[in-house]
Amino acid sequence: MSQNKLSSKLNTLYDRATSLYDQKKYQLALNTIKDVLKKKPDHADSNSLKGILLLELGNQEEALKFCKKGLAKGITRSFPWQAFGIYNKKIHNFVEACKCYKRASNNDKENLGLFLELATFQFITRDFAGYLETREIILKKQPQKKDNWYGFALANHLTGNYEMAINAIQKYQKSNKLLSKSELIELTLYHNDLIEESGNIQKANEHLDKIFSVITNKSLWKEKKAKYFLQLGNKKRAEKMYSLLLEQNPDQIEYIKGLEISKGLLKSDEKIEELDTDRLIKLQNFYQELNEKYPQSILIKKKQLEISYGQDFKNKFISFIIPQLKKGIPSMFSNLLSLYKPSKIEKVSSKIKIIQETVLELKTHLESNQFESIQDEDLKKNVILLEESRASLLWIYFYLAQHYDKLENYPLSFEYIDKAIQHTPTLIDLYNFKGRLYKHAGDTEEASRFLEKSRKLDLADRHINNLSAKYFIRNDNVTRGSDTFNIFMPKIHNFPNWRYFQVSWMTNEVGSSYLRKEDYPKALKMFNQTIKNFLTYFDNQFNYHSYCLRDGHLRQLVKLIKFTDKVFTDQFFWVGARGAIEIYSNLHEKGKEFKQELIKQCEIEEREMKIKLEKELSNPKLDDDEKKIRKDDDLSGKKLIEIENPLKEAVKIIEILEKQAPDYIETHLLALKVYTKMENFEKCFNSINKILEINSNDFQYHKLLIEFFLKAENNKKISDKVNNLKKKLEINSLSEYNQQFLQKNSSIIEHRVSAAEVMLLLGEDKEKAIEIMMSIDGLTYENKRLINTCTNVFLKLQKIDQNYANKYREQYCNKFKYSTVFNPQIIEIRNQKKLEKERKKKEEEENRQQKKKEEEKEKEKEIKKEEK
Amino acid sequence: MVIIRNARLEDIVAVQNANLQSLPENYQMRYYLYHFLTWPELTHVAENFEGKIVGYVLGKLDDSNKNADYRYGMITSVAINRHYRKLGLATRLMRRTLAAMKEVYDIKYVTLHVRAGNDAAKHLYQNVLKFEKEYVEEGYYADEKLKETNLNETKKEEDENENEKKEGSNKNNKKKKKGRGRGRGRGKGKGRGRGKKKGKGRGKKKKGKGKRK
Repeated sequence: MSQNKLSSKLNTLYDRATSLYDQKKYQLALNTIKDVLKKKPDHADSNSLKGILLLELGNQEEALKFCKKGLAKGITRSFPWQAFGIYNKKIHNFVEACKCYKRASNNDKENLGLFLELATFQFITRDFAGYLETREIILKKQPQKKDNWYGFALANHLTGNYEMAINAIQKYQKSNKLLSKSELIELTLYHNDLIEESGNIQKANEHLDKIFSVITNKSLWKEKKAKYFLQLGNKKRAEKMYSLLLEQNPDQIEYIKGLEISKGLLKSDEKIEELDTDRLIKLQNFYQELNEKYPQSILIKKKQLEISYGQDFKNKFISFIIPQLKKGIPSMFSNLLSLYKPSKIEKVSSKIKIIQETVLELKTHLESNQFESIQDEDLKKNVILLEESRASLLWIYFYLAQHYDKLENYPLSFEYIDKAIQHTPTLIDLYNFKGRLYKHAGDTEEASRFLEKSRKLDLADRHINNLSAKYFIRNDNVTRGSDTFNIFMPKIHNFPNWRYFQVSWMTNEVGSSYLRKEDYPKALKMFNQTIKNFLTYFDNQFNYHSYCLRDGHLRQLVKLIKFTDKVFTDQFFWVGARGAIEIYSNLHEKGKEFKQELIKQCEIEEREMKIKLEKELSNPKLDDDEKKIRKDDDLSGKKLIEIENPLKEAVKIIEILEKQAPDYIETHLLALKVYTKMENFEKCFNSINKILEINSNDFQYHKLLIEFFLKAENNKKISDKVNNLKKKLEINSLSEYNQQFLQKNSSIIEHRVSAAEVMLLLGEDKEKAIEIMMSIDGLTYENKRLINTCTNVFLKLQKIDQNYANKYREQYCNKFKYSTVFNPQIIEIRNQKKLEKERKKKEEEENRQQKKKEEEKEKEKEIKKEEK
Repeated sequence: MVIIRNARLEDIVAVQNANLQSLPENYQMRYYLYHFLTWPELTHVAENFEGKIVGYVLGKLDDSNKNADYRYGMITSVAINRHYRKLGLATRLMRRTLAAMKEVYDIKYVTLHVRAGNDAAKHLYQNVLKFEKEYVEEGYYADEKLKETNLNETKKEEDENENEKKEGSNKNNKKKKKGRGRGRGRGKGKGRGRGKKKGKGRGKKKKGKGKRK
């Protein structure tokens, strides 16, 4: 133990180092601690302190070494464990950090700070049993502090000890009369939540009555009341509550649903299409009444459209669109989008036809301008109503353009949007839409041109600006896109900081563009930023855990748990995760030489970037915080791709998804793909089982499964398990299994392609496989649009055999006549025209110059003449 | 139309994104969390039929002195997706938030900032919601490019009552106004702390500004 004792002189040095660490003067602290270690190289705490100092200075590898050495020399001490905890926190390994703090607090039971840290880690890792234990210790140590009572109550709540939780807050409430009013209200509401969660609704309901006068948020009170009444089967009173709530806010769907249920019109799991006529009529009458009571709520009107059919639907549709057409509501089509969902029930699917007929009818009448001939009186009235507003026809054209776009009838959609633009050439929405239409039809270049055009019509609008930026990037013009986007980005000394403001959509777009160009370092840097944004969202818990306990926001803290437990299922995170995993997989596939090549490129690029950054950082106007925000120690993305084992990095992301998004099939598809590449077969079996629970007929899964078998069959150690799985899936031979899959799904393009790819994997007849891949006619597709499906097929064919790809293109170039993938000549012609234009311009310019020169010469001559 | 409801914590990423899409004043996630965790009643969102957030009003209380009884409400940020204009979303969202401020916290008045050149937003605040102009603050908005003076508007309790009384006539107003449709993407109002020109420190420690009369 003598090695852990310092002489008083060294002790002074050590204390100085820790205080420098607290002041964040890491380099100075490091120099000081080095002096201590020179004399006492085995001093545990000093080694650990050196470790975390190195960590702060960015030397992770060395940091780990010294943290471990500190532990080895002082395993019974507390600081080495704490230091290792800090290390683990920094590398986001909170479970390990938690264990470290547990050991640290065990070794120093008097240190309250360690227990508080431990509690935070237990909260964040959702170790609620441990959290309760720690919270109890903290409360005993410091019972006079409010936070500790709240923490103790929360810990009991999270472990299901509702009684104890209630006792704790009541005890504190009684002993402390100085609670602010809002805090008292929060506690009272929390008390009620606790009774509710304990399952005793009767008691919760009675308690709610008692606290009526305390609660200022009467809307919340009513919501709770309505919910309790429903749960207790008191539908009459629930109905009353929901009616009151709806009066306050007729645009709240929850209240309407509550009314539906309490009136016995629709159970929460029932579908409207499945109601019998009697009940349907009742439901329709209910909405009719609501509509009369709240004529301004379009939500109710929209609901009416969903539950009416045939002629009734048509009438309601007309009365829905007439005022919107008159007023010119840009989102009219978006508001009706749900009616376009494909359905197998005829009365539902026929709505699209009715919509089309109705709008076309209105269009014809308005265009012809002769209303007297209209037979139907109602229709006549409506048409005359529309005629009053000159713009009605414009909005009808706009609607039809969007309608036909949705039905993937691009030529007609173009026809109508052009009519609309002709009618009113100044409306930004039209150019916006025309751009989108080009994108849908497969021409990102023209799409981008129209979005830029619309941006120029309103330079002060950030939304339009961002759209234009997005379309530039979709057309793989990252520079223009970024520049455009940065116009509105808040700047710190001219530096627009995407990282600071967590602009995930932008990093995703730019990352995807780089990925398309196979520029992996830059793409990975972007996707990594998105992932980091979400990790930061997660880490916000560290601050808000203590904040909520301090200020008594216990109800919100519980919600924060639920929110962070799902935060990584956000669509933005998915894009980043998907992109990063794809890059890691590709890096693995392409091998070390490829990686070396990339690193070389990065180094070249980095040189220039570094000079530029240094110059910016040397600006004397920047303070330290700003410098920190601006700093970037991996400018080119080199560090990200330098990693030893890319698949290991992919697994880190997959583990997040497995934890937070276990219900998403894509989680397990990505997992199966990566684990197969790693030959981690145990994990593969797991993923396969999860997929089977969600959708055993998924087309991506089909191909991944065969790839798995092809690899696993070589491994004799797991042959029993492989055979068991085959038995379970009724697989005799892979080829046969594939044919069965094809037969079962022969009408879906994606599934056919997947089966064909498997045929190629199994070395079967190439011609036959290609033939299966290439057919379209009469088939359905999983993608939102056929053109996207077919573009994907084309890209796949290109990788298999350029000749087939060309054939495919020839076959369908007319079907997708706007697509630049299927008609590359569009771009060629466009470029030629551009060149031609430029050439002409140049010529004209030259001519002008020539003329000027000649004129000048002549002038000179004249002057000379005169002089003579 | 769209659903108008109290925001849930699950909406928070979408709210941050809606802000980044349409306003030039942006904040880090922790600032939104501060709002959502402290005053969950004071943020409202508009959700379209596909479940996408297309607008929000982010509200808070004056938190410059937590112990003072004298508290007032502040509107931090208002954004409506451009495509969803002309539906009266901003009006409805503002009304819900103002009502919640009064109901839950019994505040005396509400303040907000609006660009002096943003006529559409000013119309909403002054004519529809009966806010009063309090003073013009030079250099409040960080982006020097749009050099405008800015108004600080205050809505007093009396006005609020008046407003409630005038509910009916407001509706008429709404029908009359046509220009409001051009709900400029640059947003309707905000209430960020003073001296944040550098675009940093939007953390919870920053104090709201609002001036008392």
